[in-house]
Amino acid sequence: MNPGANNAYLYAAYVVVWVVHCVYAFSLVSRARRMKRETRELNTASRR
Amino acid sequence: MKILFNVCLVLTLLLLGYGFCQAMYIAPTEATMGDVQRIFYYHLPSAWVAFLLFFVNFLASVWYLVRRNVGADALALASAEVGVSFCTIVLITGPIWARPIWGIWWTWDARLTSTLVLWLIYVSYLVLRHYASGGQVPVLAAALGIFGFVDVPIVYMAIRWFRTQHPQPVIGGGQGSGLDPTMWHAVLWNLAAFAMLALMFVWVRYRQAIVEHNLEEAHAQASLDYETEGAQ
Repeated sequence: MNPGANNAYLYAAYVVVWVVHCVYAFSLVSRARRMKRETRELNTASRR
Repeated sequence: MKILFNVCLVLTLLLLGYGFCQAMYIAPTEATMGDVQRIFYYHLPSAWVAFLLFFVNFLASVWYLVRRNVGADALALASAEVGVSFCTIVLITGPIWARPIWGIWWTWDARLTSTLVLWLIYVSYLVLRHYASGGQVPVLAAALGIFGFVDVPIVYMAIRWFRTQHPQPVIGGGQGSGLDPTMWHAVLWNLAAFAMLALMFVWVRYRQAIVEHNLEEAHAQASLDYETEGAQ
């Protein structure tokens, strides 16, 4: 059997792993931004 | 704390890089499957890390039910969310590996089906946390986390209890099973790398869950103050 015969599947699996991790990391960053904005708005509202 | 976080982040990136080199270049090519077997070095550590995170969710859920501690609830939420992302990787990389080796993407055997059920249980946990409202949501989620964890040993034992399409255990599978020592290095380095990555994700998500809780309380207090002022 040619050892590299199914390399497309190997690359696809590795790409999927990194895509899932990157999407999750991005969701954490966007949630952090949203919470920062909410905290700022709440502080502004409480000062009024 | 920020310095410790940055040190852990750099360590995680180094481990992920080294784990990748081990899996792709250093580990020997498997004799029958060829290079596609290297999917194993991401598939197996992801599964173990997912199991570990669901165990953390189980412990935190018990802790929450006993003590009603906000930190325990936040840890349960963080570990379930990160566990689902690792379990998603297991469920995607498995069929990608199965297609060239078995000739099929999926089969309803005990290991694969119980893993899908595990993923669905924790997705329903997250859906409950996200869409339900009210003070009893953390209690219901903790109960789901405790009973949901029952599926983890079933997933682990499925290939020992039933005849499955999924291969018999390579690790702890008795006589004739086992891995080449150089393959072990790739497994353990990637396990360490993914465990560190999971720790970083849980760390960030845990802190966010605490802030979310505080924000909810502040919003509730603000609306209460507003209503009191309106009544006067």
